[in-house]
Amino acid sequence: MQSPDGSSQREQRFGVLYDAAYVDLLRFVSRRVHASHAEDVVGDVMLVAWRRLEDVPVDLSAARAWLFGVARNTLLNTRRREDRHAGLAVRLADVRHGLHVGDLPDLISHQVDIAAAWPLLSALHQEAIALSVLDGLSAPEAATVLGISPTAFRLRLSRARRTLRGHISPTAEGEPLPGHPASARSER
Amino acid sequence: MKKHTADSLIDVALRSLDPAPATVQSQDERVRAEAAFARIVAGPAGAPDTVEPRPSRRARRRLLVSVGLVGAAGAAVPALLLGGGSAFGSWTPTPEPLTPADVGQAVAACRAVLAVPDRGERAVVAERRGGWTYVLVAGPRAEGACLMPDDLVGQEDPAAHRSLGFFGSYSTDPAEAPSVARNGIAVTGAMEGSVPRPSIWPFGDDDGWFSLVEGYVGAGVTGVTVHTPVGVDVEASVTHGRFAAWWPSEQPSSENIEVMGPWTYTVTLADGGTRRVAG
Repeated sequence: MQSPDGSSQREQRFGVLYDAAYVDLLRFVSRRVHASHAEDVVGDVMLVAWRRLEDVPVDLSAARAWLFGVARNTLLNTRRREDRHAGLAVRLADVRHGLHVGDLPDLISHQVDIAAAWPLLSALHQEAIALSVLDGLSAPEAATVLGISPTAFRLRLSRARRTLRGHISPTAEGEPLPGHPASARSER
Repeated sequence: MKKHTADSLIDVALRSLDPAPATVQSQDERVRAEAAFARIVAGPAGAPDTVEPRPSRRARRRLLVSVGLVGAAGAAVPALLLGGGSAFGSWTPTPEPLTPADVGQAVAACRAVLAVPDRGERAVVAERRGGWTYVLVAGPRAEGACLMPDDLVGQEDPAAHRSLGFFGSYSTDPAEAPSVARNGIAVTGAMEGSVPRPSIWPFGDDDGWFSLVEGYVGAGVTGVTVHTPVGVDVEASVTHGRFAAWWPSEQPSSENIEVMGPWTYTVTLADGGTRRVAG
């Protein structure tokens, strides 16, 4: 049994974690499931964190990566077999839905190219890039989420980036061209 | 240099395609987040769960290799050859039905660990394979399933002993029963899962990976055999118009894609005949 003081300290610590990580966790999940399920998944993950608070890293950045790892496993565990891959696929926004393209001249063509190339990536490569670029994790944090070593993550990320570049510009790196041969999809 | 330029431009474009860009929470979202917080902290604390981040695959590979060597040395226990670590060493391809008292205890343990109320569900499948009990409960308002070691089921307070191993699923929005051909089956759930178990080895974890399939049977079906991709035929439990089976597997990855299927079924019919079906 915990003392009342212990309970309230515990709740206070969880409250700090909840407030600090909730929005980031919701964004992480929203990139991987339909928005209508995202809040439920976040609730499940936070429940795990509450029950296992002693295992959650004290450092907030590390705690966030821990929560992302729980979310990923939750999604993989509940995923129907037919939809499963070795990794957890990440979706991108629909390029036609009027995105902010800023003032970079190449950006619009890049958006179209990337949106077309993204589904050609394996789920493993999608999530390696997404963890780094969209979820904003360091290599060791991303490695925690995936349950692999930081070195293995760096290697996977570099392969994923190379594959994505290959899909975007099969002939001249850095100069996006239309058309994406499916045969370039061989690398894992 | 060119590569870096290309990558940074790609990153900028990717961020502009982020399906969940940085936004301020709406009032509704904030209210829901606060309500979820209140619900969570009102519940019990300290119960371990099944979905913490996994240790590295290297540790698991090492464990599986060691287990494989034990198997090769002559201890030909099916579960060891199948995978699933030593967690499922007692697994059997043929299920054993539970006594009514055991069913009641298994359903109670399942509910307690899932921390869900009794909404009038009853057990539609309840079976034991070696030291593991599986129960599928269904009702008009909810459906849930649990895979638990018998030493968890036997606990007075099962929720406090989740660390013994537990896998559960629960839905308050169960799918309606599909229409099934008289001599056919309809698979409604098929998944890979894992159950962390306290390790008996001096290194690594002892997760048990398994594959699980659930579904409905037609009125003329009395038995279902699953021909698994890991090479073993598993006899499913068939009761109350449902069937379910599970077997030790391996963590699915790009290196052992074969554990994810495909699998096929043979159904036994009321007249004693059999037929192959795809599910």
